[in-house]
Amino acid sequence: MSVVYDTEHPIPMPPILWDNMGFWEGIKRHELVFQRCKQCGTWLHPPRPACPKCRSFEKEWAPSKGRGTVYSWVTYRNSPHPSFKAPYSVVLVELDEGVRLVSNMTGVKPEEIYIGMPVEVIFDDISENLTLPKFRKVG
Amino acid sequence: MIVRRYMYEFGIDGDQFGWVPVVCREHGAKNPNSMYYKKPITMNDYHKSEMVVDPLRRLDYYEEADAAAALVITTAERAQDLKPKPAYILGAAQAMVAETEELNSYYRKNISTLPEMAQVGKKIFSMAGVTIKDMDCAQLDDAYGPFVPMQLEALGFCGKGEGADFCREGKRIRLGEELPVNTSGGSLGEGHIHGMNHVIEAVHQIRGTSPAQVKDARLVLVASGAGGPASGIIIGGK
Repeated sequence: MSVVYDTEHPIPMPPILWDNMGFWEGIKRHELVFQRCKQCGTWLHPPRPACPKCRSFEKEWAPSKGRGTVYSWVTYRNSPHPSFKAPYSVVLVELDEGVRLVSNMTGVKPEEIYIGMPVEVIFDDISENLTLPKFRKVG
Repeated sequence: MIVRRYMYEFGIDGDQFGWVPVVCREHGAKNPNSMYYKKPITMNDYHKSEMVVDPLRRLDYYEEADAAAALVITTAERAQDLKPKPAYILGAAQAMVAETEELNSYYRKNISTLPEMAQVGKKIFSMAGVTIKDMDCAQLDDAYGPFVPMQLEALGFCGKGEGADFCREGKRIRLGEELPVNTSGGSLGEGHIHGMNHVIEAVHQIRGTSPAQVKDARLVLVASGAGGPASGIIIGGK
């Protein structure tokens, strides 16, 4: 099951700021990219100014293979926003690169989601101005 | 996210979390200042309570409260001349650790423990020169019920993954037992005043004026900020 949007209400837009701009530019191009520290190679997410491991400010946007597993998940039985129709699930995906991303699943019912489920990224073009990375079950 | 992972890693059935709101409401039912005065709930009410964000039920969450709380803090020397019996802050600390995030600390390696709270615990026990065993009761952050067993673990009252069992049937956390938790009712059983009511209850316990009084309470632990930057104090008489 995917998230069903109520188009009567504007979908809240992700706040795009200096640190996460590269991430959202990648999503627009249908590429999942994460910050990677240029000094020690640590993958970073959510985007931030400095590497928490080596404190370097030098980072690059590196492409992710877009595969991982469900690390945790919840199901909203009540919607916190009029544009999202409940029920829908939110997953915390751990990518093979080691970073985690909060997202939604497509094509599975909430009761079919489990911790450890293998998933891969897809790109949902919701509107002209909004593309979101989402996940589908692998295998 | 944190609670689901906690359940997964330690094999905890979500139904077990119900003992926290049940005990908080039991204590709050004795408290005339509580939103839930004379309104206790049962485990059956908890099981019937709707899922809001699965795995959390309506009764796992605090309700918004319109209320105010205030504390007068002064030097120990001046406090001696005041009319009401003073309560002393014996230890106080705040903590953040590497990769603490406000309200979304689920990007770090391990999310099924509360390392900030563990840090706060270590610090306040050493400042106060007391141990866990000396605590007569605890006022813990219960804005979300499942964080109570996680705090009991982080502060050292039980081992990792044992918090839900510690709360089971309220046998160890209700008034009269080993460690009464949230004797005013806390956020779930009195009202959510962002933890200020927890501090006031600690003072009541030291003064002997709580509606759910722990007999001869001498040391009370108050903790706040579970799941993010955390803080805690130990309050005592003299």
